[in-house]
Amino acid sequence: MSLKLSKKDILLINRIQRNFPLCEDPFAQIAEELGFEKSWVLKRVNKLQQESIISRFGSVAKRKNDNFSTLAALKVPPERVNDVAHLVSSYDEVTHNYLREHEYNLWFVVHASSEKKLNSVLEDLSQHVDFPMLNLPILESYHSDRVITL
Amino acid sequence: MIDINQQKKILTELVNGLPICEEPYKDLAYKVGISQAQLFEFIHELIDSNVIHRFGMIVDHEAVGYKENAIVVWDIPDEEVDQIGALLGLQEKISLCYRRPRQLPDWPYNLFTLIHGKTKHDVISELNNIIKANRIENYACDVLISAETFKCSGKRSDG
Repeated sequence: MSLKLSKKDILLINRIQRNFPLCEDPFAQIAEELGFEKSWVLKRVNKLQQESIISRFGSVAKRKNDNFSTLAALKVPPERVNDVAHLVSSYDEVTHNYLREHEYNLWFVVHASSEKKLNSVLEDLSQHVDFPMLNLPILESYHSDRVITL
Repeated sequence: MIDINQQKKILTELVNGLPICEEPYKDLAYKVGISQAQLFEFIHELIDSNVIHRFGMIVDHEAVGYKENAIVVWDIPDEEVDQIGALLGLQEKISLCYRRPRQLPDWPYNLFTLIHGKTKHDVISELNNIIKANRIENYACDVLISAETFKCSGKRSDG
């Protein structure tokens, strides 16, 4: 990272990630809320984009036709982690796949267009690997904006 | 009102990204042939109806050094889980908070939260702050720190 972030930058970044103003001159509103100069805000946001800290000014779309999802975990012996991880990642329906420090060590998210399709991915996987698996679909969402506050 | 082709065009442009300048919505409204007020109303509708999950500056957290994350799992009595879930969902440093099923006897945890940080130490100290500030020391929790990323796809859509 070549750009050193100041406290002012962090306040700015946290503000522009959510509830972005929908008005003709949104940067003026943000500047006023934070008590900064509008010219500094505009210049700084442009700089953050140049440095790829801001990847885009826009929206995150819902994945198309992928309304069914689950979080699953496998208890994989350490010597098998790499090949099992690659097998898991090879499914298009798997969007995230992490090794985590726990007895259940391989954690992955599956998205599919139907519950049937979702279950068939997990069934297919369990045909290939004979390790204990957890299937943990969302029962209730309390918070899901995925914004990481600095 | 805004017809289907105009709606599609707006959605495409929002995913591709708007310019960072004074009056960033002006060109889009002009191109689509609507007023800025109509555009704002439509974007509000998209957010309210959950067609788009969020709108604003999309920040690449790895680029600012937030490379570590932990799923923190909690065993909360069923009659309290909605209350504790709502409470944890409000914490600034928690980006996701879901109730998921227990799988007894192997898996007693029913509440899942996600915390990010620059280092593993930062993630754990954020967790400790949250536990202390909300006085939830009496609930069992476990920390699943990320050790390696094998797949993380879909920066333009939610995974």
